[in-house]
Amino acid sequence: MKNIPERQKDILSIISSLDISPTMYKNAVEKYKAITKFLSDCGIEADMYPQGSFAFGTVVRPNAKNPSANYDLDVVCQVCGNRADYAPSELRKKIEDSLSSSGVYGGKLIVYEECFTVEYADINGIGFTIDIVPATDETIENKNRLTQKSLEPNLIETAIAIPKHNGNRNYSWLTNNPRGFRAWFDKYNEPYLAASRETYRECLFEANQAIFSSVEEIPHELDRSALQRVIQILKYHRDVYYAKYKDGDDLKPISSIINVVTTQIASQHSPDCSVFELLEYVLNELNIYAQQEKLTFKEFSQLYNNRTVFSRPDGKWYIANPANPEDNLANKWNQDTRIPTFFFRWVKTVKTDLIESLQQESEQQFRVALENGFGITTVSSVLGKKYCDITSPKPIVLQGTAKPYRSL
Amino acid sequence: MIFSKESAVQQVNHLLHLYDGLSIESILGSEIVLSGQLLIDRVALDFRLYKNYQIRIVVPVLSDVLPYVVDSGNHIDESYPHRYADGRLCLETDAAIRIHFLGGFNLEDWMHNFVEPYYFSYEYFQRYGTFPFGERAHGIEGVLQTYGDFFDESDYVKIFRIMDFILFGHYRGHLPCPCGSGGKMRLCHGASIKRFFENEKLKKIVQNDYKLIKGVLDTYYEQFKNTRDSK
Repeated sequence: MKNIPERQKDILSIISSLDISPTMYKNAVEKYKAITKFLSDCGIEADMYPQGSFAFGTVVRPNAKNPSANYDLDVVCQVCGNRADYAPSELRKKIEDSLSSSGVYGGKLIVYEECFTVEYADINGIGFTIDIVPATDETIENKNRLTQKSLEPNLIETAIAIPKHNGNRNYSWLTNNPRGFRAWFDKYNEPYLAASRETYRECLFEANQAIFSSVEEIPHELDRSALQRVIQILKYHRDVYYAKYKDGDDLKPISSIINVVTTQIASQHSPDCSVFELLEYVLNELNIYAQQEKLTFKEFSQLYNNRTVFSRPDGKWYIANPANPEDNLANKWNQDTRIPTFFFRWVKTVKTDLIESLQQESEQQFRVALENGFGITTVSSVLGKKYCDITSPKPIVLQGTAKPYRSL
Repeated sequence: MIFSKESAVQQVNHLLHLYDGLSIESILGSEIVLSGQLLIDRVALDFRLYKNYQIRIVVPVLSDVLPYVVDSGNHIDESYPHRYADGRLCLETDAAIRIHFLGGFNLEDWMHNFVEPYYFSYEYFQRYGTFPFGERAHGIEGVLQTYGDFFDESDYVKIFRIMDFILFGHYRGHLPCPCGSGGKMRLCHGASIKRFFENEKLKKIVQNDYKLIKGVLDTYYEQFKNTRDSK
């Protein structure tokens, strides 16, 4: 007899196991704060703050092919002043020189074209890296221009400029707005957090009494709403799914797209819901958007005039970046038409693995769906042999295997 | 003839033992029909297929017709290119399956190497949009590819030349290879084509496909000539 709540609980256990642990979170915050202090001692006044999944509370362990890989945490290093005060390469060099000269960071530093990575030692076998992205404030003129174009003008104040590498060690400025993006996300996530906060924090406290002496002591950055869990589920499933393709990293939807489309779709749903109710709702909505692959923009708009998360005016895909009106998150979708096709095929697969599988009468079939979705190592490390029967699959040898044919 | 009555009954009984969801639907003089649920549990490329399919299997007796599978549960999407309109599955080219049966395949091997991988390919394709083991081109091109696999050759012209030579030439290892490379047969395609000269049944399979390919090519040249002449 299938036990759907139990199966849902097990999927959530897998996702929790991929999340950053409270110990590592605490450690990471201490580490980037220490970098801020070090830079200040070197005469660089900078504000450092998390961006991306570290800021959104949607971190999952990366690299599906290697389930014991380190976490990548992104931190913006926003140097005082604004872009008019520096050349982009100069700003970058300033931070690089300070970090390289340090006895603490010099040996752990990897210099990339657009960020600096500091690698930290493992704790319980899992390490993390902090990717430091150099930045400075945008100019007033640019912010005014963005504010005029923006549907969320109150978010623009925090816009920054980051040095973008154009090849051959040439740098130009690129406008970005991670704080605005986070403020936008927090606004929609807050009702979801409020719906489950107390229960969630109490559970987290129960599991981490060695680290926190009271529920109040748990930083709110560790709270996880149904919305955050759905984003984590989608991101990890994506990583496993696209690892099947040689050029999967170029084809997979970027995390910002998953964050934006999930959040926008979730904003239409009641926040008082379970992770799986929200996941199913998001996947069903994405399946509706998949029709834009075949319908014209006009046809789609006539059928679904209130659905604007993805749009294709003039045939070009568009996903708005809520914190930067000049950014189209789907830019790459218009350069490689495989990307949208793969995206909507992937969405169907998530539904098969994590929603439809809940209804399977056979426990083994449910287990196989999870293994296909999250990878056998990840599933086994959390669930052991649960839902497995005694049989194991016969492998198919790739060499000389039958190829389907059709005569004319 | 692929199965005598006795060997068909024996092998079908063995299948019923291996697949407990299947049962005999009918036994006629010319064929045995099995139907029921086929549970497939196979793994490749980090993807595992564990699923039941409603199928019908027809095993012709005292006949040259190959056994075949009908998708009676309509699991295969209509848009999938490797299913006939009547529900029969296009497991592989006839040549590939026949040659395996000549090489000692039984119904269990056929299920294991053609039927189960067919469903695996289908599910993998639906999920990832690519064929895990590749697919055959339609028509004579797929037939040429099949022989290409046996001859270890991908050039269609060379494959056709070798087929021609199997039917009309003799194997002599020291003579030039029929592919046209200029090298000695034994050092070129010899190892992969030698058995076709030694087995009349194999040669017969090549002959049927050769006729098919030649027929298509002749028609094409005829049409090409007519078009050119009329210009």
